[in-house]
Amino acid sequence: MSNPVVGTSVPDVRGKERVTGTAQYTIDLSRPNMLVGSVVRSTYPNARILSIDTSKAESLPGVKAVVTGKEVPPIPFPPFLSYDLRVLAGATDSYVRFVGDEVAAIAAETEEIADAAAKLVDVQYQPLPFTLDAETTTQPGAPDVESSLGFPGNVQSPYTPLVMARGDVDAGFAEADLVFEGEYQVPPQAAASLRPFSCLAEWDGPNLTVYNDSQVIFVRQGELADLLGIPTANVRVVSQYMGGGFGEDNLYRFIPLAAILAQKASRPVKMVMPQDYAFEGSPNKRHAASFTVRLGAQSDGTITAMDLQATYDKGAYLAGGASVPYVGARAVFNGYRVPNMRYTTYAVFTDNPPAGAFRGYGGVQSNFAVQSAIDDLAEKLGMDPTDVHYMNCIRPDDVLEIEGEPVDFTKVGGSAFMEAIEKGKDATDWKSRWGASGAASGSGHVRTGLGMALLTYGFGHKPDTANVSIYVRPSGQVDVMAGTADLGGGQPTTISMIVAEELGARLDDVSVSLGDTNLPPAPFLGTFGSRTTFIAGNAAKLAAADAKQKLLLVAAGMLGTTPDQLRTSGSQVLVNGSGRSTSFSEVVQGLPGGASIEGSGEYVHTAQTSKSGFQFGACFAEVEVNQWTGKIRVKRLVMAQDYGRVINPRAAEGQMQGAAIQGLGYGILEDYVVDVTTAQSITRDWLYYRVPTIMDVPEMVSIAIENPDPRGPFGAKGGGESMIICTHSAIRNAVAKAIGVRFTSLPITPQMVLEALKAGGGQ
Amino acid sequence: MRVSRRGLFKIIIGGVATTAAGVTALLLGTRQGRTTLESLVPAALPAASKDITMSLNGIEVHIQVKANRTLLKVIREDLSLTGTKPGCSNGECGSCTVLIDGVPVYSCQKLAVEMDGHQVTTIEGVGSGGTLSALQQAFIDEGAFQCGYCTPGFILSAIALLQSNPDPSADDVREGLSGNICRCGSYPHITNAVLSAAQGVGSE
Repeated sequence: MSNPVVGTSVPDVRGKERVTGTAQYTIDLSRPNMLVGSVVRSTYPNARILSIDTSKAESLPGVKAVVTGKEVPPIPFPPFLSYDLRVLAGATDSYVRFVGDEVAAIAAETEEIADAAAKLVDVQYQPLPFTLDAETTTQPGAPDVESSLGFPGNVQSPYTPLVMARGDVDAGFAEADLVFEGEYQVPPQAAASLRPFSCLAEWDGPNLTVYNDSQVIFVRQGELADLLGIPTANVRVVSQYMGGGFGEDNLYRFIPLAAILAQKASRPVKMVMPQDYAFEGSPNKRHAASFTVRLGAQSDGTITAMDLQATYDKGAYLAGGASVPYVGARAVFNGYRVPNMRYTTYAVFTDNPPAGAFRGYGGVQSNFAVQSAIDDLAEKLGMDPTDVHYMNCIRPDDVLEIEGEPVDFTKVGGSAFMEAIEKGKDATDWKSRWGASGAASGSGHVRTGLGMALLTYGFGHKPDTANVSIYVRPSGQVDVMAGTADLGGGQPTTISMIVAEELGARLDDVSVSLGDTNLPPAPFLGTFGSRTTFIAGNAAKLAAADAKQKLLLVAAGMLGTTPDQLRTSGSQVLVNGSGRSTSFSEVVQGLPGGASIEGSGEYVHTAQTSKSGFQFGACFAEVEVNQWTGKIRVKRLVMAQDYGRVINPRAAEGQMQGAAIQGLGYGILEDYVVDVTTAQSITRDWLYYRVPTIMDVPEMVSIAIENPDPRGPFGAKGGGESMIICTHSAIRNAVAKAIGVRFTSLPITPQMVLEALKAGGGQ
Repeated sequence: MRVSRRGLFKIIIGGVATTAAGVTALLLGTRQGRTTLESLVPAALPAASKDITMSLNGIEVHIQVKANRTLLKVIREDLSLTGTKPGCSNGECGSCTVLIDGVPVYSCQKLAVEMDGHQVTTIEGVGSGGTLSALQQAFIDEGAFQCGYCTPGFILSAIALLQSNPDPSADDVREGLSGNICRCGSYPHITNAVLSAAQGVGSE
């Protein structure tokens, strides 16, 4: 096709709004007569609510509505996101379960009044013993978290306990020359987006409109309808620009609360949560998890058995992220061709703030365990770790049993592990730097190390559907209706490019309307799990093909030829073998009554294992460790990732870099600390919870691998999460090489480095 | 599980090591909730007001402001210029950066009453008449944002940097922008955009 769009770097189609400050995020919205909300949160990790006296708050001038658990629907959020969470604690029982558990909400004329009123709500608690330790929370006599909501024993169900297996693990260990066992732990991670959580709810008679920075507008629409007991058709959710996201936008109480308060006060209510809510509210953090990994290997490096046990800390509610342990298991089975594998896991309830969805959902935790263990195994075997990975990773033409189903990797675009390893080694000069002296170098107190880790992840784990409509207007303008959310990953640009390419339109003529439940759902479940390019992109491509077919039919009549003699390019219809052409605009103007040409596309995504999406890649890290200060500096990251086909190279590079930088934060900076005596989060702002700044960013080399997935639009795969899956593991393995200390938990802080060196350094 | 002594040990150490946070907690009473400058003044106290005159994006603005009101709130809520984004509201993230007399400042950390007689520039004052500045264009061309929430703050910090150092190195750019956080991690592209804008301006 002439003038290809796909594969060229295209600036963000909504870039101008972003650089001029005219992009309206939810927090920028206001309405005349609007009230402002505030939420009262528990100060105890486990307590019985004895009484809530709201009379002082209600009598404060300017307070217009107050609700407690007794006045909200006594039903849980719908099961897609939760199973147990109510709009407020105390809705069906009288317990709070973590510091930050919401117990009351207020709407008032100003934020200052709402906050003052929140302080006047008198909640009497009977404090109860609490449990913060995932190891002991399932032991007899441990404080109970969820029995009164129907989840006894502090073990999460559904989804866990879970055993995923293939082959015979015991037989695999019997074949091994060496059995390695290691224990690994990962901490929580907060998404810590900068924009305060906010929403605006307004009623117009029986109809509710909610504005919210949301990745999941259609799910939220259904959720609000269910919770409020009104028809879905009466709820509209709008999410135009999202400030951050990363999955934390999964499930919030403040949104139905705003709707309830707005109904009660008969005025629009804007809810802006305080900044510490990101660290100690219901927004999701990554699950902390601990692992025992056993690997059986032959002396040549062939792994004969892989056996993992994993415990995830779900925190206080089953609020989002219920399938994290399952996805964690899948992320291991998606990686290795080891014939005998077993992943035994469960998630437990504690009185920690809820864990849930965060970019790299489920994949990040188990990656650390497996990638650390294989690196540790390689050292025991005296082998180069890239050789151990190379021998055991899934190969492009493997057919492997995953979840009892044969998966033919040639049908999902092949596995790109070997290519990623080779490209990473070339870009780091690995061969000449590894070898007898090892990849560690440097003299004196600053040591340099080189390490790597593989990543694999699924995308589009859940069945889903996307619908896209396209209108080619008499002006030649191509309007695309796709109810996805602009999460910042370039979603509207990607969809515009796919439509322009398929339709043969000029990119400048294409505009996408999104972020509104009045539009067709694309995809229905939302913008998460690296699914938009794949699922919504497929629907957009089908819609463009449909519009093109109709366009050519009309044009053929006008030009006195047949559609098969026509092609499109640059918003023109051209007659093959002649110089004749006409513009899209002229074709559509030929329709009676000012009509537009309409195209529609529906893509149905099944979650069957053999039809899942698979992501592959590798990260190579070079670090410098200062043995006097304990400080780790990541000097260089080489990232190789299979995108199937890159739609927009610069946007893809931005996703790779951004995900890796978040992974770097998880590896060495982001320490989410809960004070064990009070269960309060100590790291509740950006000063103490240290996300990477520009000073932490290393030299970054992005290598896009393109093994087309035959099912993706133009061969594209999802890839917005990939690099966060393994960057922390690569850094850990590089540190091991630099100073000989094989850390088993994160983040690797200067304090940990100094303590380890003081205790005798490497093994 | 195996949370482990090491895990517990680390948590306890963490608690000790961050006593500074604990001190803040004591100062603020319960630390839950908003910790903005305004919130430190009890709502019951009537805050004194003052008439001020400031130049906002080149336009002289006369406004009566409450003594406890931050510049951030006055810009966004009283003057309806929402391009300046509230982030942490605690002087940590840089998303509310504006220029005061050409110097980048966190507007959440300035009281509006202090602005009497000063020149304030927000993102709405960058570029002219619908035309993007070279720096704004470079941010678009280089893909120097993802969600874009931190972008106005970064652009204002970068303007100040380029005014004091029109030909910066990559390290100069990083140092100049180290007071702004981008959680999407667009930092490499941001550095590229500022360097490219500097080259463009230099060659004009």
